[in-house]
Amino acid sequence: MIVHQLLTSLVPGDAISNEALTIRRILLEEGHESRIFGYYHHASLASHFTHYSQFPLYAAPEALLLYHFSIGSPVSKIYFQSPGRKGMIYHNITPHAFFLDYHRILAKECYKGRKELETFVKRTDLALGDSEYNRRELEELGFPKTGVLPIVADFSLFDTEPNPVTERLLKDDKFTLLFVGRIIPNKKIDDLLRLFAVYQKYYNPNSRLILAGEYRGFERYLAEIQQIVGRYDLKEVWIPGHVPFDDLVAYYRRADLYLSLSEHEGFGVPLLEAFHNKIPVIAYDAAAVAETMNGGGLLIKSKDPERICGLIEALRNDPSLRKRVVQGEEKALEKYRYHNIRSLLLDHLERLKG
Amino acid sequence: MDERWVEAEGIDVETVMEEIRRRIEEKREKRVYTQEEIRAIEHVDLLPLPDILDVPHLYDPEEMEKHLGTLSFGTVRDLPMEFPLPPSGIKGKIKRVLYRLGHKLAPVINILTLYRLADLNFRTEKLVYTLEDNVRTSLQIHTTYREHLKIVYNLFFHMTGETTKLKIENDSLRVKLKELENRLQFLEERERVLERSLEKRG
Repeated sequence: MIVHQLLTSLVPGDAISNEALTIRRILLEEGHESRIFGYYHHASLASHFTHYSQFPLYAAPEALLLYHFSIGSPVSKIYFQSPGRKGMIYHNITPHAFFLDYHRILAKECYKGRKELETFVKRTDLALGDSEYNRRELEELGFPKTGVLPIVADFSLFDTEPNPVTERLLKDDKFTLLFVGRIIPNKKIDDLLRLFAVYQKYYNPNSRLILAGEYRGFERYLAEIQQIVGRYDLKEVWIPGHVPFDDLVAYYRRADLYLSLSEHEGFGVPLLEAFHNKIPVIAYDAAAVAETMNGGGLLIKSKDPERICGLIEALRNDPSLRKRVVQGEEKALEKYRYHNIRSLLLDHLERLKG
Repeated sequence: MDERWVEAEGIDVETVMEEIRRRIEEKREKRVYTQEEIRAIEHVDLLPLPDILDVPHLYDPEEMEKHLGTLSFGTVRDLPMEFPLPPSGIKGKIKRVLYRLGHKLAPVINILTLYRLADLNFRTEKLVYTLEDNVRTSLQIHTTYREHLKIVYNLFFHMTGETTKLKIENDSLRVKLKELENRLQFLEERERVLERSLEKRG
């Protein structure tokens, strides 16, 4: 079987890129032919990448094509020209309303992206969402054949040595709350800071909040959330921006709790990364969060700061509760284990082949 | 308190909720905070920074004309569209009789007043010429004034735009500076950790 993948960019640390690389690895292990075509790539991933202009050299009627859909991508035209059967993996598009006040161009792209998705309906043989939430969206748009393929993530990557300096920096008695993800409005970093203001001020002054994620392009939002840090004179709020992988490993190793108040997640890979790193997770129930957590962690229904602070304190002071939560997370993670996703992927490819 | 507020498989949620309640009550009893303080933090508003895209880049002459149009130079008063009706009664009858009589005698009256009319015409022409002259001069002044106003408007438009852009630029640079400060502080901490570990090894 020949299965090629198409995406906009192949860069390290990106969930979609990691998924494409893992899919390719599975396909090569199964003895299939597979290439990743895209628009641009990071130099470190050059050996895995082929520029999309070369696609006609590899296109064949028997070759399957999997497109990782993303907004405003020039590679879409290749998808439409491909002679073989076509599948799409939809990772969701953040509703444009979240970006209207902060990034008008991105808001426009997101709006157009949803419109563009409609043009794929008649030309796609199998549309896969990485969660049931995403699959339902595809179904509502009219895609005839849909399915769920959770993000194929290789969590064993986290079983490496963390950055020793970052780890040493975090080696203190401070209670560390962690959030991993871009500093963008739909992730509700402002709500996280409001909550942390209550927590540090009235519950635990010896605490720290790490917000690890890219903020470039959203400097205005960053400036707004920094107002909260300044107004309540919050100490130990770390906003390191995009971090190297070994730093991320150190953050996960040293964090005491993972906290997410995000209001839109098409999937939410960091939740599972926290599960893998045995950190109790508290997450607000929005979009695909509950589905991704699969019964693990603690799912909250509202953002009442008093209750959340009480819950954090309960987890901090009750080791048995903490242990039970982590055990639940380990059980929930089973669904996403490499071998399970691997067989699911191969099943979907058989469906696509017809 | 809603027992379904927190969900977790394999965890006794009721016990967790009881624990949360106990901790909240404890804080309230000790008067660590008031409800108002918590609500104030919860609903603290973010002050948005203006977007540089909000500042128009190009001077729009149509917009200027619209603005200039709103400046008051006086308006032409509308002529009354309704004329008064002739009075009724004896007064009206007399007026109508006189009007008919006057209408019949009009050619005779015209011949008699011809000389006076020619004189009046000559005087009116002079008056019109003088008025035209005055209007032309006023118009010239007005046009010059309007052109000056356009230039001033243009100047102010660009100055306001550029000042706003500079303010936004200044604000975003301040944010970037703050970020750089944070990063520097973070790097300094890392440096100290490295130094300490090197000292230990040494």
